[in-house]
Amino acid sequence: MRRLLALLVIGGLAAGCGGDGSNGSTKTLLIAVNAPFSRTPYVGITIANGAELAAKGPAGVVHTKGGDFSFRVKRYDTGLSARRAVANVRRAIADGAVAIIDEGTGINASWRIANDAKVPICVTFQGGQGIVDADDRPNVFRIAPTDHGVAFRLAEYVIPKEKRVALIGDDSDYGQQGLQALDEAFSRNPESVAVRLTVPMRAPDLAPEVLRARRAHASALIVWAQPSAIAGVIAAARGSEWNVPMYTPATGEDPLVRQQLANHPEWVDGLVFAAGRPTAEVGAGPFLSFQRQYEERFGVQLVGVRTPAGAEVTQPPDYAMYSYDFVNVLVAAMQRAGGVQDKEGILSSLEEVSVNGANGDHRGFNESNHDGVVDDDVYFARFEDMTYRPVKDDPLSATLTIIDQLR
Amino acid sequence: MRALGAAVVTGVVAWSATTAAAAPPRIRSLPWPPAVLPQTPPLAPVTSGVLPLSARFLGRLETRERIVVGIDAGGRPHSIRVLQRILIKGLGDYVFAVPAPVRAVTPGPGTQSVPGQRENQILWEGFSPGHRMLAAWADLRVGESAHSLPVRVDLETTVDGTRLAAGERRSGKLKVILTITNATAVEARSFEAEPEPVSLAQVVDRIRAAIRRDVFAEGVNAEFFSGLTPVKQRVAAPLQVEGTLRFAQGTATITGARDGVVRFSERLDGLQRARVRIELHGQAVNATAPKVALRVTTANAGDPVAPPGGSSWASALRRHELGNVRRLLARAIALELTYARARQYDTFLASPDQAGPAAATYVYRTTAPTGATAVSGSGPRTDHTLGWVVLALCLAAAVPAAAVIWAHS
Repeated sequence: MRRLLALLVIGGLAAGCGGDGSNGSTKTLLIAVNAPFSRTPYVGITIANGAELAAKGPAGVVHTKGGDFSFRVKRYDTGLSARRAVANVRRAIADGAVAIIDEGTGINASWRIANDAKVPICVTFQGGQGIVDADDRPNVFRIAPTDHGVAFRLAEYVIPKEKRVALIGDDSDYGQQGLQALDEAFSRNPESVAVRLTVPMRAPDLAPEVLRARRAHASALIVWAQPSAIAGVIAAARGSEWNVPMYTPATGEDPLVRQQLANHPEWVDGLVFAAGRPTAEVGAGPFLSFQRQYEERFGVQLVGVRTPAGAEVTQPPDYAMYSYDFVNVLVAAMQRAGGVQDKEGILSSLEEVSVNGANGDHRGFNESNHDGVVDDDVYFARFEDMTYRPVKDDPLSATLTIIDQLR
Repeated sequence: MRALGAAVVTGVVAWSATTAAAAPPRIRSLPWPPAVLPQTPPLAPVTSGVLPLSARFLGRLETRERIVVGIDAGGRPHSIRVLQRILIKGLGDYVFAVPAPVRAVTPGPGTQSVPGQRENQILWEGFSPGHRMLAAWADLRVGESAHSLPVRVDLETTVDGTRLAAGERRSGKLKVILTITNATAVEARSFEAEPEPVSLAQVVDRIRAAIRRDVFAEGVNAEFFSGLTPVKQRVAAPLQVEGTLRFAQGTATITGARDGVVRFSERLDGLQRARVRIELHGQAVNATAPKVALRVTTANAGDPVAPPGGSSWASALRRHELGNVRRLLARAIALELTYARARQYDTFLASPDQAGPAAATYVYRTTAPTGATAVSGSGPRTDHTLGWVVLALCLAAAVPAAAVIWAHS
């Protein structure tokens, strides 16, 4: 009877640690990745792989005041559905997740569920303005460029070059939040906006919308949309022999854009996208080291297209950096707090710790800002022959090195 | 016999002089300000965490600060807010933290980046495309900041010999005493010695040149024939104080004060002139305590070691016009420390680039303490531990007592 009681006590203590299994003296903690694996697999898989790489790599076994821990990463597919994303968060909490890494869909509802359980959520893709609020959403963090930062950087880069810009967003949350950020960024230069359009994300042909932009005498397009819509806009413009300059946020580098335009690789040439810089001032060393580890573990991520010379094009794991960095920040916070059971302590420690990010940047949050990527870190890259390289006519981008994308 | 004694004494003295002259002078550094002056300002919270990653910035940073001190009717500080502007002139990444006992940090006017806040830190990071202005308002904990302010203000207002309380209105014979004290004076470890003239002339020239360029003097080593005699050197930052003492219109009649406003401007070197005392007499008509507005900046220390008739002490030495070298050494040390002490008050909040140009303006204003600002907590976050402990102790004592009372009821 005594033994049974002792076992029950030990079992109870172990359950309180918030993990989902144990391996000898090292307990396993669950990190949930809530992302659209089925709808935009590149985004979902990249986020999950980054988290797994940190969990099995530098984060590995975590030594805290409460003992040693390792991590297990579990994937929850949102299918870009807010409802499913919320249900996933509820399930992840029930599974004992100590943290949730999220693409951002449904976050406006799901954060409360995680907050009630004192579980941190880190968004590593969507940059919408309302997502992160250090005061009102104390458990929500983000390591990804903000829409605000991307939109203002696009405005300051595009306005001096182009007379009139068409702002185009798709009807997804992502597209609408982006349009909102662009409205704000261009509000001081309304004369630069030729037209503002919302296009359907799933429409097979976007020619009518693109024609409206052309009739509004737009001299450039900024397309803030999911990859399929971006490809649709490019196809509609170039298909009508309209060689208008085009700019996008980070979705422009999604392999899906190039895959959909594989039959017309020249249509992609000149496309400029804005994203978080993959390398920092310290050089490409940290990112290349991260990329090597990533590719050793998960293999090279092929885009599925070739250059005109016939070389296979690969995709650098730039978005994987963010989930990777969050796991490392989480570990630093756990070590600073009173152990993994001290959930309040972990949340407040997340505001006080920093780590070296995968790209060599300083990565961390603070009490007044839960965004881990500063707006300054947005760079621009231009496609040429299905690969991209940082532009030379922007001070930040000009300092960055080119990441090899050929195999 | 006397003649023999005199000869022996003369011989010993001559031998000693020869020996002394032959002994090589020893090289010693002049008192190094960071080692002999107090560490604050700039403010350095005891619990300030260090940035876990190394600070990074390119080029020299320029810092400007405006310290707004809210004082009560008696002159005591009840709120301190600092607008710190940091100008980056260079292309590249920047990451640094400014340690400060901050309660809140908000973006300042014209900032091109948003400041972060951590426990006792203002955090900056980003990319400078060649020129970037960073500005933040920092709301400081008064208890940990007020002791580093450059002046103390004491204001006493009496009507018919009775002190006028805050917000109180009375009529009668008015007397106001405003005392502003330069609070920067400290005692620093220094020394007296017999310096070697050539090295002394070079060091004094170096100190003067560095002050002209508004940077710390480097390489202030001189040669000394004698040992160093430790002395205490009184050092203060010279301050320029300007301000007004203002009564509500029509409530006070004071000779020489037009519309109830008294203006003053003083240079307080902190040593010969450490305070200014303004005593006013007049008539109060339903008057409240006057309001003080002060603007304090560090003043030029002047050039107390200007070389006679030449551009440098090296040239004065060639003309054999060095004068008393011991006295020149003492004046040079005093100038070096005075300049360093003044520079400390040019950075109430630390500048990430300690060698860069910096300036600060302190603005004191009589304001009503607000509920939030009157509290001068010692930590960045409220800790209820003590309260819980007291509650637990009370419960521990109350439960047995209640049991006893219940048993006997």
